[in-house]
Amino acid sequence: MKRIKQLFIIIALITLPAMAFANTGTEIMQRVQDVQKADSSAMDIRLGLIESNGEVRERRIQTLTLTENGLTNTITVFLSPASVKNTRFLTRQRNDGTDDQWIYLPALGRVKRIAASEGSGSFMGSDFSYSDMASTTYDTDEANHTLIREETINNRNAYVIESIPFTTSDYGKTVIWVDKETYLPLKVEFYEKDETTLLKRLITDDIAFTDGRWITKSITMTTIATNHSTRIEILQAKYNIPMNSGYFTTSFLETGRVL
Amino acid sequence: MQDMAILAPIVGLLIILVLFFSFRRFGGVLLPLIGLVISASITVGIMAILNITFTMATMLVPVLLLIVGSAYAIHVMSHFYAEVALFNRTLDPGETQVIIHEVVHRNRLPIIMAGATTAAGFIAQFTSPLGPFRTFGLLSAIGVILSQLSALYLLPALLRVTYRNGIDPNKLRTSREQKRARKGGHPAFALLTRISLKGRIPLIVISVIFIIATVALVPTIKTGTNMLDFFKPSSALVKDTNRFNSTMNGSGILTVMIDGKDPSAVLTPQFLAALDEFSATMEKLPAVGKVQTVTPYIKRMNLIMNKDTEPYSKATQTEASFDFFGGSFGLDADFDVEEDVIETNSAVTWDPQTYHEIPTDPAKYGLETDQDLQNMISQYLLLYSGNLNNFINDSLEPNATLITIQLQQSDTQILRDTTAAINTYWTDYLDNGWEYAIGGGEAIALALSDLVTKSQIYSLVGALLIVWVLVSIIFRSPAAGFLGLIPVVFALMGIFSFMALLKIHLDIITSLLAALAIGIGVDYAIHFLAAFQRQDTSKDQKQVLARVMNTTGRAIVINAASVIIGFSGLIFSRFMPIKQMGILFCVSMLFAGISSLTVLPMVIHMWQPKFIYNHNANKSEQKSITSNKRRITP
Repeated sequence: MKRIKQLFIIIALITLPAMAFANTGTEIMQRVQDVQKADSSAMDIRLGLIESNGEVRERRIQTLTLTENGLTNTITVFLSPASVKNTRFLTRQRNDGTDDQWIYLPALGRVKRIAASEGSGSFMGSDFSYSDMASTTYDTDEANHTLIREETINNRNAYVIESIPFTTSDYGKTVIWVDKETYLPLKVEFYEKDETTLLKRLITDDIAFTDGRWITKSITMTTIATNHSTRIEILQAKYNIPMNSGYFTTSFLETGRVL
Repeated sequence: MQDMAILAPIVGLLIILVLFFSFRRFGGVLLPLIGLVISASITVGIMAILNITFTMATMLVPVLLLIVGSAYAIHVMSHFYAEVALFNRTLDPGETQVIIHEVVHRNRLPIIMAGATTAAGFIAQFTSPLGPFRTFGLLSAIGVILSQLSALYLLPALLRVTYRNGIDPNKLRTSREQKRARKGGHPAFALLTRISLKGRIPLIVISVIFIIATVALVPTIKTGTNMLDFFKPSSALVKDTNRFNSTMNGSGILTVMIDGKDPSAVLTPQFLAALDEFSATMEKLPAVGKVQTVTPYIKRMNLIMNKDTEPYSKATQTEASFDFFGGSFGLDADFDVEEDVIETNSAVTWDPQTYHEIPTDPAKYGLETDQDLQNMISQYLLLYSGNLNNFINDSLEPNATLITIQLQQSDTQILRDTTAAINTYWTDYLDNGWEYAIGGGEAIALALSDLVTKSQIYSLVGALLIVWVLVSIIFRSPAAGFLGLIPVVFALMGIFSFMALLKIHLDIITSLLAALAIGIGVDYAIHFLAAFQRQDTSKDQKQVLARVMNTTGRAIVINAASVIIGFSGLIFSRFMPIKQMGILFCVSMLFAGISSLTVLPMVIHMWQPKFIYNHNANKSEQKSITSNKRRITP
């Protein structure tokens, strides 16, 4: 009996630190998730598409997000370039978790229902995929997060977390440098499905305290293979504001007006 | 690489056979071979030290050296045996040394000169724009100089060691050779002497016919490099490529990039329509399998977006500038709820099937201007979540587009025709400020082939010039330079006429030949002219020529035979250009050898150039082995 007890203690001693470590990773990511969470948000975003030769092309969008009854709806309006101005894009989350999507093309003057786009597709020709635009980190229920070390990055102390998604889709692994003070990601590395080839690198250029919370003001995503990068700047941002749910309708999509 | 592993032993064996049948003794094979193997090994060693990779060109170096390098040793060996054969008694070690010394002394200049001109032929490759060819030229030149040095310094040393106890000429000769020696040499050389002295008219007639035939045949030589022609038709690569080309869109790629400079330039409906027409035009060409452009995507999206709903006229830019942040996110009545008057006039006639097109008529889409259509296409692209980076340089407002043309055949002629068709189409269509450029693997191949062919013509002219200058300097007479070019010109005529007859393309590898044939072909002339200079020309013409024929002529025949037979080993290559190179080299050396033993002596006899005749007349004392013989046989 005594022996078995000892064995249990030994097993506990061996596994406990490992479990504690694993929990720490998940806990940190839970904080990351929480600090960015909002029931509603409005953002004015400028994208700069930076060619490897330094040439920059700009895009500007505004996006509203509203979570009601646990379902998140998003509407995005394209402001520039001129050729796509007033193109609107609506995503409504269904009860089963999948999305319904509609697009309004001003040149056609009609709303079209479209098949949910592939998350891995490039967003407006940028280095961000559609799923990167939604979130650059995995939620706690999407991946296994492990704290692998702590280090200083750009004079800020950070946790380095390795995330292996439960179901591999776009990436096989991401490594996130989480700011110990604000719990914002300072840097993210996105790896190929083989978990060793670096695909893209996200760097947080600037963080700011806006509208009662810390946000990343400016981030740059670089695709390693092409050395093409995209900078996203948050020009304006508001969180947890009251918002008319009429925006998230096909009627708004078509007319640009809330009835 | 594998090819060389097969070719090097074959060529080596062939050279051993030539040496054996020429000298019919073990020493005659082994001694020249030692020098050859050493100089080829040093060259390969240099490649290893300098990390020079075996490319198509450089892998030929060791084999070429075996063939070309054997010539110098052959001249030394041949003269040595010929001189020894003049004696009828066993020579003591001292006498043997005198003979070796004399043979080396007599052959030093011709061998150095022959080596210099051959090296010059290789050095002419320095004008090539292609790195591997320059490396090839340098390595071969080094190798040639090494084998020349080994013939002048290593070989005599080896001879002295081998015959340190003296030499018995009677042991060296077969009974047949002894009989011939009494009759005054091999009957073949007597025949050559007679041809040179008496066959003036037939020789001139044959030469003129040959020149005319070459001039007539040269224009039929096809230039250009089809990489696939490098392999035998039965090889797996050729079979697979042919199958791929016949069942699919083709493996050859030409690309056209069109740049309109302004954002969205390539999305203007007129340009897209022209692009669509371009791909239809190109696909009609027999060699073109498929033309890939962005237009099928746009046509498809246009169909999808318009096949279910009728486009209707609507003022498109009613919302001048939109801003969520301008109000209170729809909570206050800050919105103008006044209904917009939306005109719902149907577009002219709506037939869903007609929308698989590049939209060019604004009215059909309920729009007013081409700009509206262009915006509509941008909006389609925004919608397209896939990647069109292969075709356009921006996902929304591209100013440049890439067209990929797949070719089922990629002969130089077809590439030229296709490129011409592309040029015709776009130079006519494109406005000022627009640019287009043709690229892709096949365009590179075409440019490379043109570049190489052009550079080979330069290196050919360069090699001829170098050879003329060298030979003129060596014999201190410009006339000698021209005489030296006789076998060279015959070698070149042989190459070009056989290229035409055997339908061999003047391509990257075969074009190497000409410069090399010049460098090697002139050697025969140098040996021959030097031999003539050594003779006392005041004697009977026939005797003089017969003597040159039996010594230097014999060496030239063995030399040419070793080169020809050595190069014939290349016919065993699985690599077509090397095989063709082998054939053409054999032909050129055959022509160079024959012409230097017939046409060259005929011209010397007719012309009696001063550098040979005065040179000898001024010499009161002939320094030859004969005088030495007198010295050692009191």
